[in-house]
Amino acid sequence: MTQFPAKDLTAHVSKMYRVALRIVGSPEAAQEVAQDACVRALQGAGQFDGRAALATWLHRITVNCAHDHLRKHRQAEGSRTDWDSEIMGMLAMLESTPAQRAEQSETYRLALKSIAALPEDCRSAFMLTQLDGYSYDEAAAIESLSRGTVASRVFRARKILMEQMSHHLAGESP
Amino acid sequence: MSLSEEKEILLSQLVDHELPADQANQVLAGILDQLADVLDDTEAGRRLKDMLQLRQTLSAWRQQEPPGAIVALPLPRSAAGTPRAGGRAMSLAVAAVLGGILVAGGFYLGGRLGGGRPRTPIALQSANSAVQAEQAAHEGPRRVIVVTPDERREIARVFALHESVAGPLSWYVADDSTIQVAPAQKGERPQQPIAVVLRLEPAQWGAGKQGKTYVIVCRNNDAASIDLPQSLMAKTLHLRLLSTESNGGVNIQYVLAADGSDLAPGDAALAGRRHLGVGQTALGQLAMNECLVNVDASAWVLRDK
Repeated sequence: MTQFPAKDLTAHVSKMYRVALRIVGSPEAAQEVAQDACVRALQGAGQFDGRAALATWLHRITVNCAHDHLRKHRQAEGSRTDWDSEIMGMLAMLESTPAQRAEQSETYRLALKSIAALPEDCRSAFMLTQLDGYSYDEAAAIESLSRGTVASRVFRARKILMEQMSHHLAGESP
Repeated sequence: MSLSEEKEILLSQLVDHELPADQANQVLAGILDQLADVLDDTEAGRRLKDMLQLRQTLSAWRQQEPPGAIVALPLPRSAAGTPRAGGRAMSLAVAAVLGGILVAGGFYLGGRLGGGRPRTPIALQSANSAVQAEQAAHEGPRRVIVVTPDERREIARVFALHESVAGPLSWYVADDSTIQVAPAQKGERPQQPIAVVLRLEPAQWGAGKQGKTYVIVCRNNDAASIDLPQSLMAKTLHLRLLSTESNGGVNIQYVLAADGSDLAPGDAALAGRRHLGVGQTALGQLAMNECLVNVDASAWVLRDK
């Protein structure tokens, strides 16, 4: 069995938090989820056999913890846990953005809305690398894809987003 | 002049810093060549700019960080060598509390049957000697408290059990061997209970010195004066604690002073304010004779079911 050094876990905490944040949709809940995921990871450190990348293993733990959290707290509301609801949650969080950043927020909001409309395969690779902050190699391990496929999907997503945003911004200009 | 998809994928990786340095330089050199040679068509330059702008737009999300500390530090090994969560120290305290419940309950029931309830705190010895033996085997570098939801539930349950036996409590504190409780004033309606886990740990390990964990439950916005027993180099630590619920966490004001046979009162003291959550937060360092002690705490509001 392989045990990962604790500093390796520390290096992943921010990514784990962002993954939790986009799933559970609240900073406080995301912190709790990330904390629980760290505990589970540390408790299960002896079971980490090193065959999977640490990022993959921690990502799965975080996603499971986040879904556990949703099940516990939102079961009665029948909340969905798909990409669309995640994007909607991210947009809702944007509402608290200070007014002076409104212009930047508009572009950000447009980008998030456009991400929601991406084809499923592209969206997953794009969100992992562009929102969660995983490297292409880590995203490839998480998605069980080759690095080249991730690179290709990220590019396709980016191309679609640039076209959509370009059309939207052109349509808004006088 | 249009770009091939292959070249665009390279640009896409370039803006993500995912290209090896040599390859990134090669791509940039190619773009510069285009800019120089094909002045009437700089598509590569425009595409690169668009990609960079899109990446920049999403940087706000990538910069999201947790609002508070997340504990992700090495954990101690048990005697069997199996790594466990840092809540282990907490579990010991919880086990001790559970072990002492019957004793405490009997004492209080006896007190009630025999007359009025004492107002002053009462120290009770737990019969759970196995807990102490297990703690003695609990050595290693920097132990960490991670308060998990299960542990929070367990502490809430133990506190509720105490109150069901002893009536409303102003505060209670438990370590691995001792429980102290203070009944609430008669007729007083207790505020929301707040759990505080206080952890004292020698800054340097050795000489058989071990850390100490206290599980405290006090009341929102109600100051508690507690004598924490048998702590490291001091016979007693005097704690004055005011906890207040705030923004999903707990604000605490604290004074911690050592009082032992080797120390004159006030020799070692620590005071301050902190905003705490379930993650461990440093309160400061206490000097007790030649031993420097790190003091950490976490706190949360005990919610009703």
